[in-house]
Amino acid sequence: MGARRGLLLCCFVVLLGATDPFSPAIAAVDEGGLADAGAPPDRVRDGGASGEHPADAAVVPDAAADAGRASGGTADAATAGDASTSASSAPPRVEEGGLVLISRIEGARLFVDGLPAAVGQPIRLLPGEHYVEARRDGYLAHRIEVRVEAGKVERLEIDPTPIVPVVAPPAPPSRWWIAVEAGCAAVLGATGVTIGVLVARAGAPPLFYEGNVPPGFARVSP
Amino acid sequence: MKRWPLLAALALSACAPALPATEIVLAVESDLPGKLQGAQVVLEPAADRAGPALFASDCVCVGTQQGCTALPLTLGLGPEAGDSNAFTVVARGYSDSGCTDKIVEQSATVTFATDQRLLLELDLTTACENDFCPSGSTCRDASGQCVDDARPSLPPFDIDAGVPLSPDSPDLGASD
Repeated sequence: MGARRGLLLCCFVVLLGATDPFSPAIAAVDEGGLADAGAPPDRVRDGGASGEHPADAAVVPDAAADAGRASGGTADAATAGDASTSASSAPPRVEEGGLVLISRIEGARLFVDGLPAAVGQPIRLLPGEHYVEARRDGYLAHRIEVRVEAGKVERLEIDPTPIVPVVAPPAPPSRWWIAVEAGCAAVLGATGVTIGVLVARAGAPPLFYEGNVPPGFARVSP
Repeated sequence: MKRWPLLAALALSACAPALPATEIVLAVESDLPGKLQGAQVVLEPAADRAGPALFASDCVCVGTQQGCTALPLTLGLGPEAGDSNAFTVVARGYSDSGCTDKIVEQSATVTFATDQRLLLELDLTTACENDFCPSGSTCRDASGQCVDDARPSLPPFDIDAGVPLSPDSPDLGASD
């Protein structure tokens, strides 16, 4: 009975392993801590066991991964927890790259391929294109595409975009305003003409000669 | 910005010289400064149109003393709108400042010329002292004859130059 039970258990385990699409991909943690289990080989490692993001595993810094390994020999225990699988069927190793994300905006949250990422700590990523996004309440999300190269850890500074109040440019003068301006110009012109006439007449000779015999000038109706 | 040239043009046009006026400037001179104490100017209809006087000035004390008027006596004459009839200008000289004792008289019959400022000079000369002529005529020389007082043409008058002073006029501005 014990042998038969053990054989059935072995068969069950083998069948289970054969039906799990990720099982063959479960990679052993390499010495440098850059390989991971549970994630498709073309995307970010770590966190694949959660099932929510089979293609976009959560990104954790190396420190967290290292800590996970140190605590129980499982890689990335902080987020994945399934990296303790045997490396007996490990695929050919893929050399990884990394990013160190920096943000000058306090409280900014960073995301790599839609998953939260730590600030200021190295993040292991598979080579290729990745989307990095910075968000913060009251800011516009800033998303950029970066290319990670194998064996390189790039430093990337990304900030959410402050929302700047848009000041509308001054509108061109409307027709009614032009009419008002023209009216004011006409009034000013008339005033200027009146003043000019008064000043000119004050300084100009009189329209009629005024003599020294009172009243000086006389109108005649012959 | 476009209105300023217009304003400047209007202001300049306002400063343009005044339009020519229709006027006759009367200037009365005399070579009787010692005897002539009073004077009066009277405007009458022309001799062919009898009627009351058109205008009569107050009696003017003539001389350089306080309250009197120095020669030449001047008076501007302008027409009422549309009037172009002839009229007679009479200047009378008196030996007293109350204008009661007439000693000399000169007259001229003139007509306004549209848009022209003309000068009419009347001389109360010694030659015509106590020589009074009937209406329509005036004393012209020492013969005492009366001649037609019509003045069909008058010289222009420059209002800026003023009335020309006769050589006998006293120099009121001289300090010596």
